[in-house]
Amino acid sequence: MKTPVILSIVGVVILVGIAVAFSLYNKPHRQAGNAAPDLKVKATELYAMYTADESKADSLYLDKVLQVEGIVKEILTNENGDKVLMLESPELFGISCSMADSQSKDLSAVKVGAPVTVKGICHGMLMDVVLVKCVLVER
Amino acid sequence: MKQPLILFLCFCAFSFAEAQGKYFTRTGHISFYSKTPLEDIQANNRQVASVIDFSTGEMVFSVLMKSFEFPKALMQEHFNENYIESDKYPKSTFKGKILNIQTVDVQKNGSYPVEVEGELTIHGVTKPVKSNGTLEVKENKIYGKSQFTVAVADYNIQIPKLVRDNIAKNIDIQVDMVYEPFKQ
Repeated sequence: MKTPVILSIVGVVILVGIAVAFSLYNKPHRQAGNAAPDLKVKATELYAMYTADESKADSLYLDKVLQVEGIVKEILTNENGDKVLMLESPELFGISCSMADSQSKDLSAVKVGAPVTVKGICHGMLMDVVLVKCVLVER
Repeated sequence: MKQPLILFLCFCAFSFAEAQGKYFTRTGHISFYSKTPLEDIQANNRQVASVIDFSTGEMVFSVLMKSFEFPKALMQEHFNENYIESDKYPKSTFKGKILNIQTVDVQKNGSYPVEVEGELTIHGVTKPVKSNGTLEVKENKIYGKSQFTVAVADYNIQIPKLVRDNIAKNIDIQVDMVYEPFKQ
């Protein structure tokens, strides 16, 4: 009598295990688009924080979804055709915002010299502070 | 944490010197491939910062490890958390020199084979590397390409036994840059 019960429990455990493994294996990439921002910050302020003390800035911003407001300095297209918005800072470099795939095609609302608000995941600083998977936020 | 400072100092030097001869990119592409009979894995980073100073032949590359994108989110997580430990070692850098810089004429369209030598830092470990590549000058832009291989073990990267057969011992690295003249 006990064997079928045990067998079916084992079966269920295996099935659940497979389902969990499968969903973990296929879990989606993190997106900034549908997440509420962890922090809101001005582009100039974010850049100033990173140039002043990188490790402190990392502890505040790294891996967070940031909503950043700033003036568009340049709209770049990388060799893959993806758009990158450069936000101005008082210095040579600034904030580079690699736009999410869903946004890369239509950036007609974005004008160089005009203010913009984007939301993206902060990956730290190279020459610029790097934000990825960025989406435009309605102003 | 010193790498951005180095990049920054490079640029400071540029602004005092003649801007001519310095090229840079902030959207360079580095990809790597791990090929095993069990699994092929590729990851792309399109936020690579790089500077070449054509007056001296010096070149610098800097990447944020978190910016490598994998086909699967789980792979990316394992890469960052377990293998490359990107919270501890957020950046990889290459600092080196184009040995035959005198053969490259940035004013003249054409494809120039180059030999590069320098030091590559990954996972906190610095090793000398040497590689060949090409610089193609076209309409005031410079297309830089190179390929080389790194051994995972050289950089003290521990791969758990369970997935050891899924990850190649030697990883192919592909570098694909479009440099623009540096103007202040």
